[in-house]
Amino acid sequence: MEQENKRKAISGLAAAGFILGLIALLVSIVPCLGMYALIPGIISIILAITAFAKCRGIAKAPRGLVIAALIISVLGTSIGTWQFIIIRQSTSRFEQVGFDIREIFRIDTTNQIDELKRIEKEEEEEEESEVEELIRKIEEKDTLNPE
Amino acid sequence: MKKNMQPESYSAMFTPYQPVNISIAAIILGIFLYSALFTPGENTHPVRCVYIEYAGTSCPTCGLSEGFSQMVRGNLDGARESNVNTIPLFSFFLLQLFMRAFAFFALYRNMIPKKLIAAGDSSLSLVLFLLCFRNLIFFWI
Repeated sequence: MEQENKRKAISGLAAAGFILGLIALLVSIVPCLGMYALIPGIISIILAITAFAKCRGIAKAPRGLVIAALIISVLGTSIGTWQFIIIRQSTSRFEQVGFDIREIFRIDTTNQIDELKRIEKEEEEEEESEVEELIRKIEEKDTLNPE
Repeated sequence: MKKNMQPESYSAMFTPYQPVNISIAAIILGIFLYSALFTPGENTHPVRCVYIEYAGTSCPTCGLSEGFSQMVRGNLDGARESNVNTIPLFSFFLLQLFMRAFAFFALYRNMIPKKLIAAGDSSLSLVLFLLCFRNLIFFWI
């Protein structure tokens, strides 16, 4: 009876490890999600190792499933780790390039802002001169036609 | 004595094979439900590509969620346009769903010996996986 209970516990652990390992393997191959395979992968490795350790001395234990779970989870976690490394490398490269882009962009923006300021100043000066011209004209009219 | 009188299907339910079958079927149904919930073309899928998020570049599986949403709605052309890998990957999950159902009932009804089901299922799944995921596997190799 005790052996039967232990067998059921091992079966549960192995099944959970196998399913999580399968999820890790499938997710790890998809580049969009590959990095996230590490989470189910590590959990499945722990479950599979626990099940493997409990298999000792238990007759008719589901060793096949435990070994399959272990292989699949190790494979999924390895590919997930590889993807994580690739993303880390490309991120650092992007940051380097992104920094250069930001530098160029900042210079361009500064030039644009300077240009805008210059145009704004010119418009203000034009407006001021127009107002001055108007005032001058009104004053002239006033001097020519005093009431 | 009472234990021996139980039908074969009753004991078959407690083998690790059946929970694995049910769980995989549930995961596949979850994927299909996720694809059906979000409308394609509206860019509403919550799962974002890590390459776009962190590296600023697209990857070979970008557009797969939208492709799956198109497939669930029966739009094959739209699915192919979203991502060329959509149809083989969706076919893999659909075939797996049928295989899970068949394996479950075959084991439950004791139609085929358990060892034969396990061997056939694992080898067929491996072949299907290599066939449907070949573009992604060879992309990494």
